Amino acid sequence: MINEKRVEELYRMAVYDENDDKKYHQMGEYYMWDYVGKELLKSFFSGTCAFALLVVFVALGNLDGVVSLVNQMNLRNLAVIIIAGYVGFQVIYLMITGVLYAIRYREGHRSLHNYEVHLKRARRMLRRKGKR
Amino acid sequence: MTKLLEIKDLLIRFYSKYEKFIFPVVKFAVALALLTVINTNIGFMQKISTVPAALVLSLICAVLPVNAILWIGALVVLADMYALSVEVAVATLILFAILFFIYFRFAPKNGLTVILTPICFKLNIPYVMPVGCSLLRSAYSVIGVICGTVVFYFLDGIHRNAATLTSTAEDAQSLSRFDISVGQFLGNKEMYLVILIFVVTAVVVYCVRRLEVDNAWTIAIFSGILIQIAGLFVGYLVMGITGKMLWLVIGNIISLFLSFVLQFLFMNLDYARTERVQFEDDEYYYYVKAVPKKMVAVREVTVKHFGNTASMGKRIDHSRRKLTQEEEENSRKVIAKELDIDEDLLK
Repeated sequence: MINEKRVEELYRMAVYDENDDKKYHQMGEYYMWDYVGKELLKSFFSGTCAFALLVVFVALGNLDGVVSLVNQMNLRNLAVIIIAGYVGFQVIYLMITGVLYAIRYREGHRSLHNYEVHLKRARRMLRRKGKR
Repeated sequence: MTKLLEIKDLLIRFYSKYEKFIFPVVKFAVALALLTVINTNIGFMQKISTVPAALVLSLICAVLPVNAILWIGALVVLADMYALSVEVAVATLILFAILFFIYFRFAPKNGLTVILTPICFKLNIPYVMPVGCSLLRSAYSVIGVICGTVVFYFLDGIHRNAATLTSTAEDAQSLSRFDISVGQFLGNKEMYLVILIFVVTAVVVYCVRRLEVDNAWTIAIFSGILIQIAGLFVGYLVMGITGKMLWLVIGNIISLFLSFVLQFLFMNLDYARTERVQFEDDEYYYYVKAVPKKMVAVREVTVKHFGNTASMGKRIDHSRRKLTQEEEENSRKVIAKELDIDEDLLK
């Protein structure tokens, strides 16, 4: 005789394993700030690449200005502008990363908690069946 | 209203039954729409801007993941830009690289949002995108809308300056091509205004639709549309942009209607039958507000059998006149069971 409630719990666990485990698996392995810290590190590198491309893009659109700036040998001012721009860009980029991944961590953690609830229920039913 | 609910129920059942076939068809249609928009506006490379090429690429997109449509669309655009001018192609490549760093870092699952935004811009209904994304997904899906907006404005600027960009190259003109193409991104104040309004709209719609008030989705939709109309109207006046007010209002009215269609399909609640309950378990005490969805009751099908009910569910082979021993024993067992008598009495 099939226990429908146990099948229901196992079904929900199987659906999580199939769809959400890939997304939320890491949330069970890291504390929140470790997870967010890991993503901030990745964003630091991708943000640096994005900023470098942005500088090249802006320079392409203002080549006359870049050439005159280099000719004036005012590299100190140029370096200050670029570093200030980089810091500002990274601050915004990393803030968005932090907020976004903190929200994703909470969502994943909630989903993982629901999975654990179904797992406990299924285990309880199996134990009861074993005792009989 | 009941008829609409029945149609909705039919659509949901049809989709869940044939999802494996419908999703590739949807991807094909979206890819074809995107490639058609690209080919009609910036189809400078004749070889890939033909209808057969678009159909073949759309077929490929139908079997690949959604993000493949983005990659293929980007490659087609780059090819067209290369046919227009090398400088424009370089500028486009760098811009796409920047957008990919942002998109794949923050919203990699929102490929459809990025693809649909430029299409909606071409149809003059881009206002549905931030509202629709915030209703159906999280607020950060607006990042996909922003990427789509940047791509649209950049390529629209290239399209409007195509004549200047295709003039014969000399060094000075090569520099001016970079100026013109990069200027579509850096100097486009209208684009920044639209992005700002979209971000504010997305955040407001997301926050309002998650409130625990009745008709939260309806209030969120109206708030989003009003913010867009008011914000863009004031912005266009301040910047001195003319000729867009009419389509601003018409586009937002159409977007309002489409948003209500989305609400009907995805969050059609009957607030009149709200139930509030309280209960507890081992860990928590629960205060629950349950709002039922508007549904059509499933018709119960009653089957009436007439005649020989003993043969219900069994296949009777009428071609044979004489039954085999086994068939005779089986039919004896069935009849005995139905009549609730001893099987030996029928021998």
